[in-house]
Amino acid sequence: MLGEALATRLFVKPAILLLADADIARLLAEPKPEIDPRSLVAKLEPGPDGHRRIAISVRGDSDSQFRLAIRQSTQDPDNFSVILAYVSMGGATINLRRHNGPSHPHRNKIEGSDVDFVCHVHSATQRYQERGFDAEGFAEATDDFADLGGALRAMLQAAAFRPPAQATML
Amino acid sequence: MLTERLQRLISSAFAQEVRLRTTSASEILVQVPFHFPDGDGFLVYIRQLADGSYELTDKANTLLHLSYHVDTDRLGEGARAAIFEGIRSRHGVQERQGELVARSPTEELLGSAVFNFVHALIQVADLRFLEREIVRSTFRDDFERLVLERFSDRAIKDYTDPVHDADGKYPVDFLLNGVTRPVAVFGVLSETAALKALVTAQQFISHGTRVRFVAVEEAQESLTRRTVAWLSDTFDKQFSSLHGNEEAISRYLEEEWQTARQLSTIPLLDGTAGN
Repeated sequence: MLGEALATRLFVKPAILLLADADIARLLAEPKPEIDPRSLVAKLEPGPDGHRRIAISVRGDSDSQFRLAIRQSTQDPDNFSVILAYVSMGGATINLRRHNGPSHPHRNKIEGSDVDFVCHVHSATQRYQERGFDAEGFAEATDDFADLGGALRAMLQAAAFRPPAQATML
Repeated sequence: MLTERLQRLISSAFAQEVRLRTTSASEILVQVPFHFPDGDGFLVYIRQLADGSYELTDKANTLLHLSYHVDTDRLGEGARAAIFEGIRSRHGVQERQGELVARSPTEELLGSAVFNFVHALIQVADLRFLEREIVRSTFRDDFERLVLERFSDRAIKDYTDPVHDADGKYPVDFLLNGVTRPVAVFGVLSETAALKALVTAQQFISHGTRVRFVAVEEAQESLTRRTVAWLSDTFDKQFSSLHGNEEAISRYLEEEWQTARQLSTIPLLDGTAGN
């Protein structure tokens, strides 16, 4: 069971929940329910902070809890992020993966490498957590998506969401 | 000489990290060598206004980025709102529906205006750490205040069993005493504190001392699943957090103690007090 395996790998710094690489991979691979990406993007609502947003709770097949969120600037449609977070038993969250638009550069602080103004994928790693950075501090450029809709579809595929029923019928 | 060389080296290194990109006819993006904790760069755009002055803006990127990790709606509440307003006030930054904006009256002042603006953005980005740090630093004080204010007439701080623990190695944070089955309350700030509470509770149990055990945790999510399970097996009640649960904790402790007091007055078959 994932829950049992996870319990042996969770380690704790004061008040901060950390995940080992193997658990991050297993959480991403845990099968998740189908989600219609077009329907989700259509539900984006403008908030008071200059961006559109939506977040939904997702339960994996092994009972792990996740949060899938979308953020997009109202001023710059290329400034977006699709975020998959793991929600721990006590409610703490760790971003496992983020699909970002090309609005900004990124620096991998451990490796010292840069990602220019291109779409990129943030991935949670154990080493970034251990150094005190955000879990998803490592990012790589990608051409798997070029806009918000593509970023969401790529996330659903990368994180083992079941495809919508109409897609599987094709 | 060393000072001059260092001046050139540092200035050069810094200059290499600052890049400009023209994003539209009226707007330039300044790439600065500062990053969010996840490595994404801060964004500073410069626009020239009709009166010849300049406007610096983050195009709402800072709060957008903050929303990847925290609920930005809470920036408008309580201490967070005051600190957010203080940052804006100190740096002359306005907020326009999430967009952070500053002014530079002349081109000559743009350099220092950019640094001042980025300084403000970094401080705003750090607001995400506020809640965790404040909660951690005040938990112990808040926990003790809660117990002592509500139960000062019966709470014994750092209680140790005089019969079975003469050396005082197993203290209970607070014992609500005065009944034959008192209530032991532990403030659990960390994994270590949870394990100490478990060892202490097991000592009382092994000696057959009749006590009800209550754990008030700073943040249950910071404890390992195994420790939470052990607490669940050993303790009569856990509160997963103190903040927001104060009333429920007080009510529970009061009810437990009152129940124990009522049971204390019921004689057992051998004629001694019950519970």
